[in-house]
Amino acid sequence: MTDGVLHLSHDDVVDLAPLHVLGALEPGEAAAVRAHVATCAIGHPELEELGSVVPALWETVDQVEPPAELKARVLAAAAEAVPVAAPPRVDRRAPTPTAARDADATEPRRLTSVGPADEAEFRPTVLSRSVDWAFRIAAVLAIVALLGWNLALQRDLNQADDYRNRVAAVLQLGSQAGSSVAFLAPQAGQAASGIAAVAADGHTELAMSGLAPTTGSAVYAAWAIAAPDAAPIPIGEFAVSGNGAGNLATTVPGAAPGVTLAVTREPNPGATKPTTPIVAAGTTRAPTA
Amino acid sequence: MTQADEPLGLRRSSTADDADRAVLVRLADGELDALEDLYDRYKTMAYSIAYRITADGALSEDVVQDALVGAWRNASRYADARGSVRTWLLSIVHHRAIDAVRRRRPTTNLPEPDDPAPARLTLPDIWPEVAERLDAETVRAALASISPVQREAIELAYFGGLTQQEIAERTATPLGTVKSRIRLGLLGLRRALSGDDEAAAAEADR
Repeated sequence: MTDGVLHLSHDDVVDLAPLHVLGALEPGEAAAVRAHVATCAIGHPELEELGSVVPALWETVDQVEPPAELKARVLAAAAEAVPVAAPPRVDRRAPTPTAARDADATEPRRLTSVGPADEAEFRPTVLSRSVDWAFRIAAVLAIVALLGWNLALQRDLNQADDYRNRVAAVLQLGSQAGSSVAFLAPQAGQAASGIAAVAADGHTELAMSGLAPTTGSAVYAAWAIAAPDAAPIPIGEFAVSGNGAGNLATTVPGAAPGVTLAVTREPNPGATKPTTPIVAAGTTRAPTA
Repeated sequence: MTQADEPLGLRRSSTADDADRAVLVRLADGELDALEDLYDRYKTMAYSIAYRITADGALSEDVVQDALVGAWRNASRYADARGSVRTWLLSIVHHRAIDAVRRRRPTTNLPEPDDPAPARLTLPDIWPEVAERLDAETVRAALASISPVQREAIELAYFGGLTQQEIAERTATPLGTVKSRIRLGLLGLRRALSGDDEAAAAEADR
């Protein structure tokens, strides 16, 4: 434990498995179990064996109905939250970014990337028989190329527009009475920076740029650090696409000026403490002094 | 009547799982209606678990809201993962509720945040043969088949949010005994839920 991080052996984890599946470990121990399991070459089937019983415990809970108004609260909160890691939608019918945004509001986001199958949808299906094959192929290639260029342009515009809107949201929140604002400066060897606003009720908007795109299961995690010696509290995660911009709408508990906000790039979602160096960080302060 | 209005002892079936998956796909597509469906489906179960842990209506509402919004935000990441939506969602509820009571507890400093491991790691879907016949009666009978001290240790940990140290102090029991009670209790429960009652009874006597 010389580095302040608990390291567990395989046998230690076997020993702690029953408590781990019930969530009864001290937080540091639980994190150490997860860290071990993530890299253990032998494996820990006992976690599955013991953990499989746990959902059964739910069946013993007495039923209590939530208040009827909770539904509206949940849906309102969700409407304000930004889903994580949903790839940006490309709406090829939208002539302008504004129209694309409107379409996004009413239609499901695309989860598949634009690929050959999508391009095929645009291939003209009716062409005059008098057009010779060479021209036909050239025309198709030209149309595909044009559509591809349009799609790329549209995507860039959407992403730029999205980033601009996110920054606007930060500025709007930061200008409210009682809000504080943080500029997240890049840390050593990093190029990312950002701006965040924290409202008096803890509502927080963060907009980052210059981030390396996320791939695989990697995510960017945001952390709130209430005091210099306090443990970082995870406040949310976000993915970053090709334009290097990322954003987060979340809540920072116990919000007050002086909270440090930091961003790390985590190999997997759900990290409970930063496992990688800080990419960018800044401390909130009242915008007017 | 929605599923959420059914008793907690709802028998799980592949039909319910299929419906859950469909909701999750719509959720990942960003359909707010899907979240409404998910809420309707699990509101009672989610709120009941939160209330069992926090014994506080307002806190339970916050927990359910946090869990549902978290599910909404992360659905697209979870959509490709295997496992039941129910287990995923209710695990989030459990974790948020435990976190809430630990933060509230006056003798405990604000703990390090500790999100649960991915659901497939610590809470795999209950094995199929059990899922098919799981109901409250079965589970209560299984709990009755393990020893009272094992049951107490499991409940203090899972619904009380106590750490192993706190359970040891609360029950005036050595830490090693707490660990073995929980291990044997869980194994006994598993056997009882599998229908191997004799083995479970033998375990309880140990």
